[in-house]
Amino acid sequence: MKVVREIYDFIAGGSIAAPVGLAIAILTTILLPHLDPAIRAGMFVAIVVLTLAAATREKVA
Amino acid sequence: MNGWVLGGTTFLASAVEMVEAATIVLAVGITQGWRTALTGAAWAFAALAVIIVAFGPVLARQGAITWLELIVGPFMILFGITWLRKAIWRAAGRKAMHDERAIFDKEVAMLQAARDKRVGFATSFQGVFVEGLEVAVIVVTFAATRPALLGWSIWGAVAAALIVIVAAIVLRAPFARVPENAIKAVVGVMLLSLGTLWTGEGLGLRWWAGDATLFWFIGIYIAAAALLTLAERKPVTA
Repeated sequence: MKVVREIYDFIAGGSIAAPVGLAIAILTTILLPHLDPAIRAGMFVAIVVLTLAAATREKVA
Repeated sequence: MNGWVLGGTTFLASAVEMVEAATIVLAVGITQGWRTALTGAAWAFAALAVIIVAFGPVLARQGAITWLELIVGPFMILFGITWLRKAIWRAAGRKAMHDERAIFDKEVAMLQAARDKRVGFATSFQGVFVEGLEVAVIVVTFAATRPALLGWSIWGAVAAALIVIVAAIVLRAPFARVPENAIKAVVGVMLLSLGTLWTGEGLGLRWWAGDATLFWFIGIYIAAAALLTLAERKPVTA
């Protein structure tokens, strides 16, 4: 369990918002293929920016 | 993709990590002798080189880059967010700045109490390996997405490591005045930008300016980081 925690901390820096936000960005892009490509690209970038904001609002690690 | 972009990113990432590693190697060198300190550091560099040599060329030889981008890109985004949010916290005063002098003093006190040379070797090895591991992962992942530029990433990382380690040995003092937080912010923005570009490509998105969209991302994330720093800044109390 400690090893898993160490790997998680190494990759995500202990953030919960970062992997969750990134998963939402990826799933939104995959699940909405019918949208205009420019809108999909813009949505992806916007969700990553919001993910950065959410991760920054988390408790200081 | 320009080799200077990838080489410059690994150079800066390696420089800032090696500044932290140099503080530890320096503490070991001064308290337990340079032979112990440099032997530990050399073994750590050898271990990091094995990781890069074992995985870098293998990933670089993969023909289908798209699926690799979909694996590597998210890693880069997560690494980028980790680096950038720490830089934002420090710039905003929510987290203490990295104080190389204080870390150096703490390491020296610990090593003087231990006296055992094996502790010095282990400390030096661990300091270089742990700080360098993230750089090695970045170099390997760059190799996966831009195989032709593997040499640029490797030489960027190696050049920074050599410059910092040699400077530390010559100066014999921790790099207390290196603007570590600013460098970390730049690396965070670059990793986040490259990760966004590659993940999008892996997902089949068509970026409006091809690889040059990277510079749009750099601008977007710099603006976002500046706004978040202002938002996170603690109110001044009288």
